[in-house]
Amino acid sequence: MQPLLQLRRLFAFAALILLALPLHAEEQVGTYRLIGLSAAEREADLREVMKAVPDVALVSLDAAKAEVTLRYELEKLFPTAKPKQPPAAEKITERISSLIGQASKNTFTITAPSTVPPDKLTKVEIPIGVLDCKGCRYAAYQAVAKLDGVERATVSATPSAVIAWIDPTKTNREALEDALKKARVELVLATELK
Amino acid sequence: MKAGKSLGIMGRKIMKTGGAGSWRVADGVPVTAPSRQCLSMILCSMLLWTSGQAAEPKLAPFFSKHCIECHDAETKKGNLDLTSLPPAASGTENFARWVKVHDRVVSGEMPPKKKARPALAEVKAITRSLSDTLIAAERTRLAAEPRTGVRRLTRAEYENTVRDLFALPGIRLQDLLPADGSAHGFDKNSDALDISHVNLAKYVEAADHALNVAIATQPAAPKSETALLSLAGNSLPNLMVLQGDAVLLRDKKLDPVVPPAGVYAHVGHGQHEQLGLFSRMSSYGVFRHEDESWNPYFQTFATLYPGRYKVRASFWSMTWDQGKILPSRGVEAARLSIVQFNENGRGGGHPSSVLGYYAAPSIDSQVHEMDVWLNYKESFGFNTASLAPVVLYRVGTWGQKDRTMGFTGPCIVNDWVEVDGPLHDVWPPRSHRLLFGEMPLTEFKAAEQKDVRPPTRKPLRQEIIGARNRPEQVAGIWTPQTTQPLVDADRLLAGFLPKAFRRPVTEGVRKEYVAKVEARLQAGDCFETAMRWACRAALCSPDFLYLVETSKGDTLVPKPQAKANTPAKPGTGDKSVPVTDHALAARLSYFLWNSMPDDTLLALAAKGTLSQPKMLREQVERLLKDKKSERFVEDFLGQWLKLRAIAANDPDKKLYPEFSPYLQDSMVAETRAYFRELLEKNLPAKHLVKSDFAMLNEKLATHYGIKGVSGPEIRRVKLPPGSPRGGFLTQAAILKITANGTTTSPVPRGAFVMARLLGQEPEPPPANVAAVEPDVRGTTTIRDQLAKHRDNASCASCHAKMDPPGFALESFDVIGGLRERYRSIGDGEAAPRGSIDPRIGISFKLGPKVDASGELADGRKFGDIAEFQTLLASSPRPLLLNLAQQLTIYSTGRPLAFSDRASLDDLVVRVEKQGGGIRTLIHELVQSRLFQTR
Repeated sequence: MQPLLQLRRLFAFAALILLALPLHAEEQVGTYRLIGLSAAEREADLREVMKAVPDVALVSLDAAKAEVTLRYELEKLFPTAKPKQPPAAEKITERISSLIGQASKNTFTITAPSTVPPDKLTKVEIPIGVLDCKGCRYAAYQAVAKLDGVERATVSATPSAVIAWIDPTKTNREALEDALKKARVELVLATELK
Repeated sequence: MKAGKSLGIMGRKIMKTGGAGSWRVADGVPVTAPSRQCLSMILCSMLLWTSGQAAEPKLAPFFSKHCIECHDAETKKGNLDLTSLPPAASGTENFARWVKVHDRVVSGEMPPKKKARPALAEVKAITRSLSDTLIAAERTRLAAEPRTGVRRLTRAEYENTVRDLFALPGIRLQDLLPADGSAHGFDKNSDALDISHVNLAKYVEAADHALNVAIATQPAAPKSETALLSLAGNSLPNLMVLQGDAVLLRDKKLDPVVPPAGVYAHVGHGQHEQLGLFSRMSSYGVFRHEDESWNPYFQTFATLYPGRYKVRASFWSMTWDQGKILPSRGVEAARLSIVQFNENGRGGGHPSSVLGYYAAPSIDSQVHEMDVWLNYKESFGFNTASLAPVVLYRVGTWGQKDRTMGFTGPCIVNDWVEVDGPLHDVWPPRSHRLLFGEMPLTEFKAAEQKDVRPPTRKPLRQEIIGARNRPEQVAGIWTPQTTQPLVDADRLLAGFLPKAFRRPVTEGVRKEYVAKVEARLQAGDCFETAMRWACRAALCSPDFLYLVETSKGDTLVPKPQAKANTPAKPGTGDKSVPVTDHALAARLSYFLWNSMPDDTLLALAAKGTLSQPKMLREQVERLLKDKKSERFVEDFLGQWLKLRAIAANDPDKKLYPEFSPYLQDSMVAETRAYFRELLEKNLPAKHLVKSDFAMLNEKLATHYGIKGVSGPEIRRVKLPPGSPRGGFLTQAAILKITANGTTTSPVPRGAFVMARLLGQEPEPPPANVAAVEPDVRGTTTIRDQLAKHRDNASCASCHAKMDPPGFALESFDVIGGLRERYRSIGDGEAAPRGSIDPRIGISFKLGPKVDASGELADGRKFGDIAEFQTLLASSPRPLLLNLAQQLTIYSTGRPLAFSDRASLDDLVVRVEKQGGGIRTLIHELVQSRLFQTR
């Protein structure tokens, strides 16, 4: 019995220590909407960027949905926060987004996941002139991604097009085309495609 | 009553009233009609009035026989009335007119050819007599004052002096000071160097700036750092890549991260930069030439610490063929310039100066290394110098539809520029040691010196947007401190003042400056501030700002001087006394270095041995061999041949589309290198107008139609037979300076040749005569227009002398290109492209044929420029004499007097006996009394 008693005491002691630790010292995992994934080539960029972000690790990337799952420790993200008052979810998202933004010259940021059900989104595909450059594709992406109602977007090299999933209650194809024209992206008319 | 011939005699006027023998005094009292000889005697006595010499009997009959007929009150040809011309001694204007009379007789111009010629012996006797009289009159006038006035330093001299004094070889001060005037062709004459409160305020500003740079403010030298710069990564160059005027390359291949602009232009300048696509130290290839909206700068670096930097730059060139990289057409020229950023560096058009033109060979990178002084906020600019100065290789410019990918043409590539520095071999730097000797910099602790104000320190920070280099953080205030400030001040000023003033300084003067230090210390300033106050006062004092030349025997200088070894010429009445050795040292160094004497010259002056002929010869050689003699070449040619005015006008872009800044800089480089070559090889004066070699780079050689020269370096090139190039006369720089950018005129060109090469300054144009207007439509030639102009009798005599050299130079256009036909922008035949770059559009047409023939005033004829050159070169004496004159005026800071002519002639004869070389001329000038007296 003696060893069992000792073992119980040890567990009790460990439990006490664990209870004494702040609640948010635990590693946490969250899924976020990723802004900045303009094309497939940007996946590698994101992985490089995440290596430079302190205290936040990339768990997984769903490029099709433009979502990332990240792991982090709240204690490290908010070292001065009081143990019994963990930061709100918005604050956490904002903090992680800021760190990723700093590491990527703001070419990547995150927001909370989309609240619009996928079946409510409309896919819009706008043919554009050849953008054989990563910077240009990113510029075209940015032109539409920043619009309210664009839930996610990508720029395809072949065929050359901007593809966006939009909330039709907030925006429409014309608005996207206007934004692209304003960014000097040349649109290819349907007749030209034929 | 009809006005008649009169002669002014001591205020009374004799008038010829009608018949041959009827004369009366102007106040009505009749006098006996004077004979012609009597009139001449009167004239002669007038000339000699106040000269104190007996009348020369030869003058009277000569004037009577050959001059009075045309130059009396009635006829007054050339506006000269010898009968009322006041005596030579009565004022400088009258003296000048008598000199002109003398010169016209000596040259044979007067009496005119159509009149009876006086016997040669008669002319000689007359001119000698006139000359003696004029010399006597001039000596009397000049006896009261030194020939060379006390004058302040020119802007260039001031800057060079501060640079050499403080060992700050690249500090920029000229731009802080007002422009200098010019007198007798140069800015070194006291007549041109006045001073105002504006100058004084600027001198204070300049002295403050110099002291700011000179005084060390940290205990250890700023750490030398190496910055590797690429044009890629700078905002405007990045934009050029996106627009299609440049490409990014790596390892001589395209850098795929930003492909060349194709059918569709790049979009999103900011997004490309955000992604860091330009931050990969890619090589940067440029198709476009610098223009109003395109000045590529290396703005990721801006100097924080003024000082020496080692700069390396790598260039190559290629032919871009729609995405393919092919060997280039030859060695292209890349230009680097030093850019002085304004404010925070935004925008373009910052002041800049050319650092150099560097070879960019085909495909293989060439690394160039330079030792450069950089000032605060300075960086580098780049230009594709040898590419056609056309704008925008964008869609449609050359018909291509696909931007860079549709373009075929030359490209210059910069791999990188590496800047290493600041480089200090000692700390504190020499500039600081000049002021504070070996005193260490210690930390100023305010708590321990409550009554002492610390030195002012402006925090150093990087003000240029985009620049990545940052200043070191220095904690505390570091300054030279002492427990015996006045003792140290006295010791330090005893070293500084003689160097600054370029001569020994008396104890009394030194004490005045120590008193300034004491006053500031008593006012609560620290030692550094107090010393700075005194040194600033010294830098703004006449002793520093003015060239104070004392003669041997003057009491200003305390040390005894060696005996003059160039006594006054016996029997000439010349009472001028040689200057002291210290003044000679300064004169020598301001002549050949355009700056203060160095320690060697000052030491020789202190010993009193500088003025010894052998020593002077050695020192002239030493000075000429020193790199600082480039300042002499630049400053002297800038004024003698007016090279400073090279950019006074831009050639018309329609008529001369091939003109570029690179061509202009090459022109100036040619003229300087040519003069340097004459000096180095001690070549004779005929080379001023005719030569079998030229100093060329590829740009100029192409411009001149000479094959086989590659690259931007100026080098000696043997000219093909029959080439008119070589001498100054036909150098593009001279031909551009003497044209107006649109057309050429024989008048200014002829006047330039007369005044600058032959030493015969033409008369200014008479009032109320319309100028000849250029005709760019090409319907009439300038020769036709001038023919009409010469119908005016008052114009004809001068133009007869002035126009012929100009006619010969009609073979060259406004940018110095050889031509057989004028260019016009009106109707006419299509012009052949010649050596003009195929990318430059041509819209000018061929105008009338050029006629470069003429006849010199002495009757010698020439058919073209080559024959004219041969005529000039066949009698090199006037060329050598003129150069001797120009060098004398430049080096002594005074105009040549009539009485200097004999000395100058002697000088030229001595030079001719030794082969007539230009270097010999400089040696003989320095050895002469002309140079050694004031």
